[in-house]
Amino acid sequence: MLKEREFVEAARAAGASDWRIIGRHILPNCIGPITVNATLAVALAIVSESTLSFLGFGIQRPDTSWGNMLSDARGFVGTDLSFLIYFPGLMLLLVTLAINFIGDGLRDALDPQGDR
Amino acid sequence: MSGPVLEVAELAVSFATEHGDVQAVDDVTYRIDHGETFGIVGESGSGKTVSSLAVMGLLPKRATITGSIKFLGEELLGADPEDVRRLRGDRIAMVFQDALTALNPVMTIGFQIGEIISAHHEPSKAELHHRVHELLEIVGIPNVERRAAQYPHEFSGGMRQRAMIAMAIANEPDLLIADEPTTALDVTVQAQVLEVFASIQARTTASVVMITHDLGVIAGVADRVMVMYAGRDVEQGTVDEIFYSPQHPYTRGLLASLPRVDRLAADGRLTRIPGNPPSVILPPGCAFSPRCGYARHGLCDQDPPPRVGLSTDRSVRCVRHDELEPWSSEQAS
Repeated sequence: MLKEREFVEAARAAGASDWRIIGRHILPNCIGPITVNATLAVALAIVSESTLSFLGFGIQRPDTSWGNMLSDARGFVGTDLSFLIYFPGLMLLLVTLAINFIGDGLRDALDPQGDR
Repeated sequence: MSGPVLEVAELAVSFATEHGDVQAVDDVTYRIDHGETFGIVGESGSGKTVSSLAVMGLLPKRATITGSIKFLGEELLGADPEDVRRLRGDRIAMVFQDALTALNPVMTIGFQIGEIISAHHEPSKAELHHRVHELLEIVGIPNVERRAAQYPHEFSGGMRQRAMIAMAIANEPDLLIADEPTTALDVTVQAQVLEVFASIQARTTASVVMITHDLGVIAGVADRVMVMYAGRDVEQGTVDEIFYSPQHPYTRGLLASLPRVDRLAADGRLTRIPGNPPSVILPPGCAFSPRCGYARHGLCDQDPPPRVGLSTDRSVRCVRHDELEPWSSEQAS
């Protein structure tokens, strides 16, 4: 655990107050995992919203969402308009992937010990 | 200033564990004067680190601490934790064994040295900058400007330890506790780091507590020595007294175990103390008695031996110390 790492002990030996230790020593050392988790959580939220809306429990009309669009397009599958289902689906996939890549990029950029 | 820097009296530290109370430090008394280097020697688990963490007020809350720790005449045990925190890093500072893990990996060396100053004082930016560079120069780090902007992983082991020392002396403490500061270093680098300590003491009036298991380090830097075994201070004295006329069988065993190329035992093996240090459960009486060649049944395994004062700064905890044959360094092996 981070709080048992020796540099935290060293900070205590240096007379740092608890808030200084949290703010200056512990937080900067876990900023990587926090950003990655936060971005993953955003991606997960988008997917959850779509799922709920697709099932009709999410965003209610007249507001719209990709989940609602998917749900609407479902009725056109097998007709000339079946391409309607591709656009919201593709956008969901791209946005979720993009957010995950941003998370990876942030971690690489923020971690001073990273080799990549 | 008058009076000792640190006075520790009847210090005892125990930890409550699933297997009952473990006595890590048991009735330890010592005193550190201004400007002197006090060596604490002992094996792993002999209580040398725990006793100094008690001085720093850094032991975990489950530790039970009794006795008295007086710093510049002020009692630290039972004092307001906030007051003790203000002393730490300012008046009492500590150098850790492994500088790589004790330094924060995500902050530059210069920033970390500056932080210990700004944690206790309110220097201007320019003052801080100047002081950090001055400190790096004192501990012998070249290219100060460039080095201050680097991260700990860009430093070599010896340089990291120098940076740690720079942090410890940043506020010119009265007491510097060095916990095995040279153990993780190469022998040549070790000598350089010890020189840094010597030069610091020449510049300031800081007293140094040098905790180590390396008798060579103690012989080189200490003025007075305390030998610890199983949480007790088995022998105290000046460095000459400890090395030239050790009075405790354990101290003698330690000295005899020092490997010497010019003096091997008949079978070519290294000398050692038979047996192992006691684990968490101490034997009754003298903790060293099960391994001691002088131990007498019915005497040594009864009560813990009292501290016998031989002169002002000299004490030994052995009921048979005056029955031991005179020591000559040649009898070591």
